[in-house]
Amino acid sequence: MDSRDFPAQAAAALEQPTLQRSLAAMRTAMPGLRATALAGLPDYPALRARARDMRDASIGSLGELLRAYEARVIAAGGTVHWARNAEEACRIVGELCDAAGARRVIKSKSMVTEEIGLNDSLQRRGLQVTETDLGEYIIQLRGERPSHILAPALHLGLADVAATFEQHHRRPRAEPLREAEDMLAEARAELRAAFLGADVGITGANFLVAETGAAVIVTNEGNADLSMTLPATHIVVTGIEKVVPTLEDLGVLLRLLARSAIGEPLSAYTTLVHGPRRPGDAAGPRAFHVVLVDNGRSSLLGTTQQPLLRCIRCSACLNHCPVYTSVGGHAYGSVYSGPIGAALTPALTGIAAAAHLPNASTLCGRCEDVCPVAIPIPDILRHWRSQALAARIGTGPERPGLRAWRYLAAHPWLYGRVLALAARVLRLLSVPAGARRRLRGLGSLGRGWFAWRDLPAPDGETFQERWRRRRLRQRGA
Amino acid sequence: MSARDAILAQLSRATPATLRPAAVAPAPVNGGSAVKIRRFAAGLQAASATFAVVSGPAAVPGAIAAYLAANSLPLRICPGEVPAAVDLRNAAQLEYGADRLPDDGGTLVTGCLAALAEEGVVVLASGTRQVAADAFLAATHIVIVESGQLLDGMDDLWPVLRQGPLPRSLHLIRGPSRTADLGVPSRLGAHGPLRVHVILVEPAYVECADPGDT
Amino acid sequence: MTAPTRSVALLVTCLVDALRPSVAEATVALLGQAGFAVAVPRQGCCGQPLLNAGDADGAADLARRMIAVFAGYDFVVAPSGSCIATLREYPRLFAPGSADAAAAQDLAARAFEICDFLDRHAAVLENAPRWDASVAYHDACSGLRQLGIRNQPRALLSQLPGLELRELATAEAAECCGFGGLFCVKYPAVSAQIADRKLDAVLATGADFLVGGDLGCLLHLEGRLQRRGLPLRAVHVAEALAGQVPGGGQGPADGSGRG
Ligand code: SF4
Repeated sequence: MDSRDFPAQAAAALEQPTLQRSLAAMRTAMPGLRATALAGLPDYPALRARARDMRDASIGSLGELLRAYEARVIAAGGTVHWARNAEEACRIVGELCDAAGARRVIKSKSMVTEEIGLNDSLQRRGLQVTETDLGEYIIQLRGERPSHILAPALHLGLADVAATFEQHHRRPRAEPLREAEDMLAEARAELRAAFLGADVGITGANFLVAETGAAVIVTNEGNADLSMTLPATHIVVTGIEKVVPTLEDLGVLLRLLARSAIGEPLSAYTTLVHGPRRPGDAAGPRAFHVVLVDNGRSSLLGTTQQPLLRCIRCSACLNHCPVYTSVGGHAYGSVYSGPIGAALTPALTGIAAAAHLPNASTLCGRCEDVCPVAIPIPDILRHWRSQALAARIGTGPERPGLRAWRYLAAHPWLYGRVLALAARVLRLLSVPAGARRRLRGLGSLGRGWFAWRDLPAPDGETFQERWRRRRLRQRGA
Repeated sequence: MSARDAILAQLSRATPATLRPAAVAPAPVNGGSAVKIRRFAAGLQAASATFAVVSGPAAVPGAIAAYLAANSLPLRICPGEVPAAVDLRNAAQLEYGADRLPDDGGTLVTGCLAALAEEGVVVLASGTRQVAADAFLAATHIVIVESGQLLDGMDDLWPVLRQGPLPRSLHLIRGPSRTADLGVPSRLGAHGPLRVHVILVEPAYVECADPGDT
Repeated sequence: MTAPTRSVALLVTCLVDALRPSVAEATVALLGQAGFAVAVPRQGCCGQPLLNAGDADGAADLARRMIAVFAGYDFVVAPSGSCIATLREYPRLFAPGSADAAAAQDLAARAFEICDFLDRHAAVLENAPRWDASVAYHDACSGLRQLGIRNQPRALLSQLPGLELRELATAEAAECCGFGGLFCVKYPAVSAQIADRKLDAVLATGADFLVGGDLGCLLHLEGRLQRRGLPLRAVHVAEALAGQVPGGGQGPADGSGRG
């Protein structure tokens, strides 16, 4: 899957019944759940404004906050590592695993580790890596990418899961897997064994708190808690933009995150972890590491795309996007999909590889509307479109067309003549259809339009022509 | 230049923004303990957890036994750190299990650091006696909340945390473990407990005998 | 009327100009009924396609021309939320504090979508025509989210005797129709699927007409309707309010059925 193939991938996604069923369910259920949950807050607009301002202030002093966070972690007995890019981050994690003498690694779902390709890198080192979020586990078995940032197996149905488990779980089975309960029990048993046998647990972090040195991890399954409690080593891999100043600031984001994401006041598990096991602790890892990943984030500072760093990965923009909810995540061909993916990916991979993504949007603005930190995604998409245009990266035949049109539109008299001619020609080519005439096609012209639609026929002259003719007549009279 | 210095140098290019003083949305007004308990019960219920109130610590073992019986679970429990006033060891109604959970999960009973009415959350902290990992391995988790531990909501938790040394880990738990990866509705018991039952010890019990009643 | 007649310049919009002049006629009629002196200065395009294609320089060039075209009028009104939203974006195309920015700001403050404008200045229709029809209103995205237009067209339509407004199911109501300018020809299959969702939601209301305020959305939806052979018809809100729905069976403003 490649972002360059968005059109073909999107068209194919429209024909996948399982995916379409999941997307339809999401489209109908999520907006209402989110709206109800936010309506339960005393003053959502004020909280949202607060969250936006707090994120901006944090991003404005990231260096300071990260230094404070680092000092806290060190004081608690942990180690902080800094990675400029994906390669560095993977190497650091790999070396930490080697140093721990690890063979088996368990992971709790993390988009940053998807972004840096951590699993592949660890597997190349000979480590056995098991994803423990159920959805992530299923797609790992299938060798797929997440199709949604929170629900990675959204594109799969129960039958797909059953087939995957039957193929990969070596266990005697009297009859084929059919019930969700049975699949859950099977996955629970497989993963329980993986938890208990793991040497290293890797998690992401939803947030870091500078005040206390906390890494904050949110899940519904509880897999992050097990991943960070049972193995002897816990490694947190996260982006540098995740840090907030205080516990109260964390509270602001927590109150928005699950409400925006799943329509609930909080997820089932919200965990703040401050370092390795202390003397006398009943449980917890002996070694605690945090890997802070830049990977292009700092290059957004001071640009018009900087607001992207506010993102808390709630996925509300995906759930409300007409394009995402039509084609799902795989069509985007990028790690992050949906509106935030379309806005962020060009920053991570360069515009050349991702030029379709900012174009694959109707700019309807619903993403910005539902974003709990008010990221102006449509503006940022426009910015990337301008970059693609400037770099002459075409996503269609628009470039020469736009130039010609720009010339015309700047010369109203000429523009009027061309519009008038077009109106006349289209009228002549139209055929009757009920109350209005229509065009069914224009040969090879306008294929993008006519592949799926007719064109209601114009009247045959422009309004401005008519108006001016009428004026002349009135003046003459 | 180390990666650390390189990244920090990059970050220093950021234009500092000042946090405009915005009116933080006030938490809902505390309408007294009866209202708080009602909210708590509703929050737990919304998160697929269950809830009971007892009038004093002596009533806890009976409440545990009643819950287990009602769910056709064995009366055998594995206690973590529970409030000092609650005596489970000598409770006639219960079987006092080993310190370790059985392999099939079993029932864990713990206290908590705090509970949040607004969110329907119990807060567990790691510690010397708290069986932190067990809270995610048990099949059933029963949490005892003492009346003073019930806070209005999340914003009241942070000052409590600042009062003492920070525990290594803090777990805000809202109902049983669940997953949406096998379709709608969510399935309970993905990795952690299938059941979370909260028992609130509230001496003023008589005044709010039916917390579910509005 | 003692107050001097205030002037309104019509921003025709390219699509209306070339493809549906009747919408402009209807808009002129509505503004005239509301007591405004309407002018139609010779004009090109507001630059929305360039803005959305990421050609900010081109958009700024067209913006300067539009600022000049519409100088001196009390108001600028268009039968399109998205074109007005583009005018409201003009100030951001110029350096803050520049003369261009100030002029753009001045234009933005005078520019209104027709329903929004009537709602502010002539909320009670002078000659509400009779229309025995059930209609569903499609909230176009720019109008809805950038200009806050939701109640205005409904309040105006509800003054038409005989008209019954039907609302779309909540899940589809706030969703885009899939037009998106160039999006609809670049990714036509996706665009058509989004359109079909909207159309199916309208059909589910049982309405006879789909009414909207942006011709781009309407042509896209109507073209899809025609291709699918559906009996539903798409009309512009200005036509509906002016009693000029072609073949729409609208009656004269006789006041019958009012009150
Ligand atoms: S961009 Fe906004 S809505 Fe989208 S995931 Fe990020 S925070 Fe959520």
